[in-house]
Amino acid sequence: MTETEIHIIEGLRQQSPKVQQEALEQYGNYVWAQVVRLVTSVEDAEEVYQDVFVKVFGNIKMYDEERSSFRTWLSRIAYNESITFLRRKRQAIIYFEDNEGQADALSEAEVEETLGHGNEETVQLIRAAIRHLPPDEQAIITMFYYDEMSLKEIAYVTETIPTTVASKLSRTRKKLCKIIKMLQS
Amino acid sequence: MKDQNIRNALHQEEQNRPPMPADLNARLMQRVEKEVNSKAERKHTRIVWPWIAAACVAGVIMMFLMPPKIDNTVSDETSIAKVEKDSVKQQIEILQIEEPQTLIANVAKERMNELKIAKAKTAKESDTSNLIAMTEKDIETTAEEVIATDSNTHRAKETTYDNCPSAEPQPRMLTERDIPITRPENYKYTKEEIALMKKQANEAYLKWVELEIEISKYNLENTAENR
Repeated sequence: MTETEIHIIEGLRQQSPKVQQEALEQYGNYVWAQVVRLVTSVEDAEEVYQDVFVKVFGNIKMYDEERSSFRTWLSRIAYNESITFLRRKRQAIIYFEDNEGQADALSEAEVEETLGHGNEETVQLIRAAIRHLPPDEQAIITMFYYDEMSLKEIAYVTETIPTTVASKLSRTRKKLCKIIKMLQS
Repeated sequence: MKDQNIRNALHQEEQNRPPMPADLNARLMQRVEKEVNSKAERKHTRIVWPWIAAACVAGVIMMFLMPPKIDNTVSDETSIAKVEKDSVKQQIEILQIEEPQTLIANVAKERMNELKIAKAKTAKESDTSNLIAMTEKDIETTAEEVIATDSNTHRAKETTYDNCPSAEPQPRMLTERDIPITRPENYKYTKEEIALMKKQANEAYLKWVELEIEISKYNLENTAENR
């Protein structure tokens, strides 16, 4: 844990407004990115962002340094608040659901072949395919590939176990492949 | 690196996400400040309200435990004593008004006078002499009876009068006479009138019942004929 983190945690525990401001400057953009991945509307994302930090400032006493880093703890609160907001709003989200299990039938070789081409077209196809994924799967693959979080950290954020996260990642890759094939056809 | 395309795609997606508004943190700090102030107020009221609740409970308990107020001017015992005094006074007044000796003497005198008048009228008739003697005897006996009964009543009154000390009357049960009439409608009808009205009401009800029976009989007969 860095000195900045220690200073911020101590200041938040004392409910210092100055340190709260510093925490917002330090972690604000990161939390915003976490929230806006799941809650696409800007107005809704602003509301959820505020709820996240109000919860962080109010529940700082519950933070345990031994379980996770402060950043990961923030990610967990942001993820849970976003998912709760989506459930509460009951917004209709259209995404690909592999009810027939065709994605699972794909082999690893097929997936590598579909996703492995190093061209811009493949990247655009993957971007389009990601938008068809459910919000929680989008968040997981973003945390893994973009934020470069470990399986243990992702499991802590999503309140699951690392093996569940690993199997979900594998299924999501295959799903991306399936969506790309659908888009190409 | 494995899945590099996925990383690149995600990187591009993240770049295209809407940016955080510039005033968002300022608004957040204002909201946090408001919540802190409201929490402080709630804490203050939370500290105060148990005391208020305890005071209310104590007041309710005091209301139940405190004895009812006693009116020194009028009480059950003094009211009974007052009534008894009044009744004793009434008796004394009655006794003063009705002096038994004079009463008996007056009655006897009146009867003697009547007898004398009758005797004077029928003095010439010998048949009536015996009758007069009889009537005289009767009058005397009745006078004696009157004297006896009056003396008895006088003795009874005397005893009651003697037994009722002027300062400390014996307790007795209150009757309707002691309770004054306060409702104006009770002045309207006497007891006899009320009894008469009840009797008339009962008679009217009986007549109505008889009439209903007659009607039902008539209806039965009609339906029997129609069939």
